[in-house]
Amino acid sequence: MEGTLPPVTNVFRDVFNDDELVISRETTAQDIADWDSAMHVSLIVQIEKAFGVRFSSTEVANPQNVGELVHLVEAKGPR
Amino acid sequence: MTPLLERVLRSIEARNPVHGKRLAVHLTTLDPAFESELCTVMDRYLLILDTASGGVDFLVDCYLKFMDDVFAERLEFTRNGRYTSTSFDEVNERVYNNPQVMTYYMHGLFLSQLLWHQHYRVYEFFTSVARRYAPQTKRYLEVGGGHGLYLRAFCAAAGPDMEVDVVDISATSLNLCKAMADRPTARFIHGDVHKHQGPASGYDFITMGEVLEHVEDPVALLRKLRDLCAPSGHVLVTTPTNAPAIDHIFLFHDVPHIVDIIKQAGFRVVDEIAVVTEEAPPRKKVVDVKIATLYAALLAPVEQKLL
Repeated sequence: MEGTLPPVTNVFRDVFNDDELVISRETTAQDIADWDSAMHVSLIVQIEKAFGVRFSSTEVANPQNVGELVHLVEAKGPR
Repeated sequence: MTPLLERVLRSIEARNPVHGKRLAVHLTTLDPAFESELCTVMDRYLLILDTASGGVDFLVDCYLKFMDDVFAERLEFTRNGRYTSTSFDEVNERVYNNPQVMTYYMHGLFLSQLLWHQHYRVYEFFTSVARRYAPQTKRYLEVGGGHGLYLRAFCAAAGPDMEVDVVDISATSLNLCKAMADRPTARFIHGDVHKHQGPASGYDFITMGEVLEHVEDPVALLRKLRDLCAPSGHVLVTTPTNAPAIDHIFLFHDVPHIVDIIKQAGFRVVDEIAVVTEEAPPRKKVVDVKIATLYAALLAPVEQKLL
């Protein structure tokens, strides 16, 4: 389901205020300067809103990379 | 960075990279004097911990569990704007009377006191106040001593004859305070401060760090402190706004909300500091994050008018 990455990218661009931001499934927090634990909460809630899904805190507390978040969204079946 | 701090940071970074990244920004810019003090305090804390517990690794384990709770609570708070607990009985059962939770929570909280920039800034404020007021303080009360960091700092700045009372509902906290403060003459009172009887002339200085958000009625608690405080005495309180945690009950929306409650209880603010701990995302269309701030204030009782 490669179609999930573009809308996830849009959420990242909104949250990190960067319209040029390019991410892949391999992107990690180390690759985005402002992606820290404070911004992570906003990122997760914004993804929930964008896709109409709800995560448990343990699912999203410490994702290894963007791909893990994309996979979670896909597994929950966006509304 | 000292080896001890480096070890703590690397261990956190390895297991929670997004959080480690945030801590690194703060810890790599620490004032060297504070870093040295921080390591002294952590060394002492590690000595107090049971050596069989695993030392630094155990402390980091506790902190990361504590951070898991913080993340879960903040996620819920960002979704609906409320704290998950609303009554003391609820958090008493969930945290204070749950030894498994209380153990990691207490140690995690201690490490947060040393690692978070807002705690550092407020601790700086506290120590500057302590240096000003402790030398002439004869009777000192600390309410909810927690891990004993503030108690230790105030005692260090005071004379040897200062009388010290510490009141806390947690026996675990009292034991920690006792070991951290190293003040043999201090009295450690296990109980509710509402039932505490102070000296007839009142305490010269009262410290209550991050307690107001744990009670259902902060005005009543502050009024009790006003009763315990000498007419010429001072009270130092700290409390956060928009800071969800597993045992936070009372939600302060912003600093004016805190100051309003302080005034309702019969105090005026002598000095204060507010440290923003979490900014909102830059774009307004992104989820509405409430600004988290740690507030600390030095208070003096407002003179009562004769009827």
